[in-house]
Amino acid sequence: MSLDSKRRQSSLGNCWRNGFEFGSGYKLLLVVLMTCSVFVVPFVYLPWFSLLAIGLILHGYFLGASLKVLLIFGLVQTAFTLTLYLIFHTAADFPSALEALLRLFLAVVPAWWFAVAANPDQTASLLQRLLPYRWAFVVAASFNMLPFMMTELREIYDLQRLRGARISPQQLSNPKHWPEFVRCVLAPLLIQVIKLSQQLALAARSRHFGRHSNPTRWQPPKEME
Amino acid sequence: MNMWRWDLKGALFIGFCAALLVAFKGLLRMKLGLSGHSMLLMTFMYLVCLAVVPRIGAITACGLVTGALAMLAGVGKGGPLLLIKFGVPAIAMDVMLLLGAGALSLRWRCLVLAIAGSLAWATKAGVVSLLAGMTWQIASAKFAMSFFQGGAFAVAGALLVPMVVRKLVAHDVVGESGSS
Repeated sequence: MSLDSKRRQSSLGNCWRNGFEFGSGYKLLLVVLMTCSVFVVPFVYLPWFSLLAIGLILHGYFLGASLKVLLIFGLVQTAFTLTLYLIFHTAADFPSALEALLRLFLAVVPAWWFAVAANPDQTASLLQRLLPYRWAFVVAASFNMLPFMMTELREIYDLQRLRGARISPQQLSNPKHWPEFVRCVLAPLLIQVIKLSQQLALAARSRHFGRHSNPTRWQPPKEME
Repeated sequence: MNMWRWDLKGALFIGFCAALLVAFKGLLRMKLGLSGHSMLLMTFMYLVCLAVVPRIGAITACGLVTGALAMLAGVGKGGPLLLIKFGVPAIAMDVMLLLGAGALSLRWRCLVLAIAGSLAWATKAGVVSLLAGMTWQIASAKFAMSFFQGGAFAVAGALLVPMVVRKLVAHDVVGESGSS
């Protein structure tokens, strides 16, 4: 039995055993299918999609996600679209506006659920399989650098504010202060990032990165067991 | 030009720029209360990427890596749709570069690419509205509002790029021609 079919069987077995705990690949497939089909199916099928969306929202909620993002999206879209319908059409067209809004909302729910429910390790592993190895390495390295970048960004930002730079959130709401933010925070950070990429590329090259025809890839800890 | 044969240094810089963009979205969250403000940092980072790695496809690579990282980090509500959100303006900018924007001076190149990116960003909003079943008047209105709001922020982001490029050249991390 090939390694791929073994992996597939084991993944399906895990789905069966753990109920909702299926892999990121299946979740991604569900999101793509639901998001695409919600725009093309006739109205009579929308209640079924709504039921599925309610299930996904409940699942996300029980996983600890806040519903605020979805709520804000729904309210803003509704207010904005109905206002436009009042300007360009009449109140008689509201049912078609509400149908369109429902379709928009149903398209966003699966994506929100994926952001909440997908395991980052599994998604990273999926990307590793889909991308060419060089870009898979870039994505993995950048993802691992994310906490470092956030720390650097915060440190530079705090230090610049301590020396009196006018870059507080209130001051940044005025575009006049954006050049100062770029000069004080972004430019030093970018210089550091360029140097870091040069060092990392040198380190990878010195370890013969890219020389092998069949390179190994990072796998999440569970898959390695 | 073979996208997969880039030097690792350039590819890593693009990845780190994408990480920086995601970090900004996650950390700062400038609450400007206006739609389209994400175009500011997006355009800025894409154009910096192009300035440091001056190749066709650099912006697209940065957009797609940003989408992938945002998806992995769970930023926003987009999930896999983030690939489209970050990817579409990036592809439009690269197409504009192919159409001859690369021959312009740095400032004008940045402006033209920013407008192309915001046009794609607004087109996406209009097309989604049409797909959802809204009338063409509503879709056009959404397109126009997205274009003007996103475009204003994109142009502001583009105007900041020459200043940063000058700083990078002064620190000798980027050559006069732009390459690192």
